[in-house]
Amino acid sequence: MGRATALAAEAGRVRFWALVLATSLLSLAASGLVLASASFDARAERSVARSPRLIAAHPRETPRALWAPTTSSIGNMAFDVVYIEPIGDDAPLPPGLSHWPDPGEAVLSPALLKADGSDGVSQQFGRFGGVIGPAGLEAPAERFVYVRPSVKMLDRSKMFEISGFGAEASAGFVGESIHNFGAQKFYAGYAGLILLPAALLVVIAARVGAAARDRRTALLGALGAGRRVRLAFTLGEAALPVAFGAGIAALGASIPLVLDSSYPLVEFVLSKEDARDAWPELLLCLTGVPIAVLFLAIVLQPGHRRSGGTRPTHVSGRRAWIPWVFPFALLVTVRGAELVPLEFRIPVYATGCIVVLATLPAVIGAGVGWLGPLMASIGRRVGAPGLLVSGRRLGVGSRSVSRLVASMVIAIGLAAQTQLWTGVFGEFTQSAMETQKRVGTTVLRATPYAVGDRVRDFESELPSGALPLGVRQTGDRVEIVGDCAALREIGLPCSKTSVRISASGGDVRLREILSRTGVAQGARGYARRGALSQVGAGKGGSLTLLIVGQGRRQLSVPEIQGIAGRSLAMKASVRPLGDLSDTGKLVTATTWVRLMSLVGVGVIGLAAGTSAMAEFLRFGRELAPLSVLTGSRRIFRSVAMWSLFMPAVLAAVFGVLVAWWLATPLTSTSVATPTSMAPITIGALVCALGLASWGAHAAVRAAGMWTPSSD
Amino acid sequence: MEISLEVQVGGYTERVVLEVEDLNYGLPGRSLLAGVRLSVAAGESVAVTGASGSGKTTLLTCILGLVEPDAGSVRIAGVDQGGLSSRELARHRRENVGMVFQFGELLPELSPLENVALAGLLAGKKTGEAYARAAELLDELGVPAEGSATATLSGGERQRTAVARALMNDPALLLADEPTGSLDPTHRDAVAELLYSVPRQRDCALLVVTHDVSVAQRADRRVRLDGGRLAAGAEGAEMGEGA
Repeated sequence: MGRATALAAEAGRVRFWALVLATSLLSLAASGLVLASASFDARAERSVARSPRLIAAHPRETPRALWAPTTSSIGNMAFDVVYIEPIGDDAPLPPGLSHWPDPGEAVLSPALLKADGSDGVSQQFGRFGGVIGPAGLEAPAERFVYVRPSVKMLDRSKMFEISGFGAEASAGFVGESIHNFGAQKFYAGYAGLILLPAALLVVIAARVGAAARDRRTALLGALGAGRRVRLAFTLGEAALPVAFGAGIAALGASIPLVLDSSYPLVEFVLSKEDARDAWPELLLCLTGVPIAVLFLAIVLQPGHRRSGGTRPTHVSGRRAWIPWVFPFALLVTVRGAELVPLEFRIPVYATGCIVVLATLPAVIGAGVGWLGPLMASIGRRVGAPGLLVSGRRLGVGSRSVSRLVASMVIAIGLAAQTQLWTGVFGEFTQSAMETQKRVGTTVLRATPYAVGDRVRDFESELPSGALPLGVRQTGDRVEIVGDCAALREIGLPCSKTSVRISASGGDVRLREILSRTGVAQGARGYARRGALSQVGAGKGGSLTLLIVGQGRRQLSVPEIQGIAGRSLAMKASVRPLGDLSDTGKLVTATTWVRLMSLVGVGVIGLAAGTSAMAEFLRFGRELAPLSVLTGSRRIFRSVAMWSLFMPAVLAAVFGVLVAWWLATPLTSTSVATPTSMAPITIGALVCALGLASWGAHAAVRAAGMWTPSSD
Repeated sequence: MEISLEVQVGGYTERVVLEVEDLNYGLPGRSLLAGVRLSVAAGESVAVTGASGSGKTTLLTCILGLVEPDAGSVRIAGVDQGGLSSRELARHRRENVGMVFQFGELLPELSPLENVALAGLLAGKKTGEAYARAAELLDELGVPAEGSATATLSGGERQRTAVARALMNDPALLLADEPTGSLDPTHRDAVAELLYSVPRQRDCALLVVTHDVSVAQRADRRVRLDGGRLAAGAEGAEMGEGA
């Protein structure tokens, strides 16, 4: 019988499809977590399998190879470069390699080979010696390279002795997780941005058309139906859509079992092998989530209550304490987080944010409930039927409006937190990006500053138009050394003796060099003509090798890197002055957060839309008789404006203000100003307007289909 | 096109408000109305009885213009509804028809006064005029106008409020669909008495659809809908116009 009433009941179809959608989305979201977890586990396993067994950690084992990690980059994404050298003929191979590369050869991951393009990145490490197999990579999309140094560049002193591969203790020295979004951050973001909105959608879907079902439960109770019968009714109603949703989710979740799944925007590939390993958990998830949804549908269906009278009572008295939690939660989150020890700050802040966002809808609901009678009074005085009806409806506490407001507040909270975190990440990368924008690759920095012969070799191999300079820093003294062509290229005098230079040099490249060597910050700067191979760091000093493009020419990083690797040192590194490789991780984190919040806000939008749709179908049916007799449809629009748009505007305004205040502990910069949240506010208002229009349209349609029924 | 229908009956002129001619309406495989003919004059009340599912509510729906009949015509206040656009039909209904539904169909959150005044406001009445008229009607019908939401009224009070709302725009034709179907005998009698007093007091036509014989008996004429056709009521002396 419950199944039969599912579609026939008020808003029955909306609830049916809302439950289908909610079950499938929550199942897919949970499956995504299971698959991601399996992927992270498999990555961790492969990471352990290729981690070196360091002799320092295992002193009783025999050294059989040498191993040294470093990093390089393509664009702003860093990746691992591992130098390996066998000791003896029976040196164990790293996983994923079929043979030891010859001296001077590099074995690349397929993703690195693919990303190489015309940059010739692979050439900078040596001759191409093959491709790393899947067993040697954490993930199919990982960029990774094994390099066997040439005989000339082999530097045993810079390498670790190892007995083989497969050591848990040294896992994490290298790996995609260092340069990409790590598992813990992924889980935290996923839980907040995807699972929470999907769960919210389930709650809203379960309560769509609640008024009619609550009446039916009361009727069943009055007819003497026990808890078991009511349970069977509720289950009967929800079982079919939940099963349908589970079926859709099962289809969706089976795709990663047969295909490598590439996530959009974030360069994350879920391998089908990893996904298949997780099939028991996946099965558990695809059956457990629908059962949980059914359980929730039962829990959220209130039982038959004995009331004090025969007349209806309104619901505003229930859970009236919730709004009072809000101010305390806000205060504790914004001010309290500063008072707790550093390690607890983020957990306290995150928990506070959740409590604030969870209780704000109740505050807005209470405010709207208080405004309702006032609106009705004004509507009555000025003869505005829409304002009158909305005011009365809001005054008795509309649960669906509360659900709509809750959806909007959570969406705004998510969007604001996303903007905040991406803004914080952006601040870190901003400086490097600005430098790169100004100087690009016209100035490169090469490390290490090797011994004289090697620097000479490096200089001699540089292409024409690439001019080397040395920077020696001792205490607060900075000296730039080079030949006249190099010095004059960046506007410095060419003198055999040191000449004091000012930080406000005319050449943009010089200004960048001076700002990065401390001269702009107060150190004394000098310039002199001299041979780079003869420059010594001196006691407590440091040397930096720069390469300047003649006539502001953009230099090829891979080309210079290749030369540095062949002449300067085994682990030589060449990077632009405004190096973005360290920012790639933040950019990736930003992209992940954006991707997940996009999904989350989308799901919440569905929840808000479902809630508004169901409410207005009911409202349309309620007002249909009157609108038919009076021939007026305007009331649907005016009621939609007052009872959907107005609370949504309040939710948008208060949501943004609260989100802005919540952001203050994390940053004091422009990302957290109310004006910077204008796009979110405008977006929320446009959504609110869209929802109200949709609601009015749904009500008009529901009214249009109404005919009297009796008997 | 508006035509004034005035019929000479028993020496005095009778103004016909509702005239249904040869109305046919059916669902696939089933005919609900088959050549229904009916007319109701101003000041007159007619009760349509019939078994559940006989098509009584469908007849009302056709008269309201909410469904288009397969054949035949419905003329209210001299206007054939078949030739009207939906906008014209809505206006015509607003100006000429009032209806009392089985369950009142009032907005529960509003006060009785607001529910009644709302019909006037939506029909374009001025605010003061709408509230004054609503208060007057509720006072006449003995319903407390203010002080509580409509949801808290008794069933009888709710139906009397629904009658007041139906009369708000002074309709020429008052329709009532099982107006006492949800009431106990005491309230049923009170509401029925009130309803049947309306045509003479306000010079409008009343068409009541009911399966309650005691309610139907109060009407000036009784007709029975059976097999898609109207026939004189079993206990009535007058003949209904119908096949």
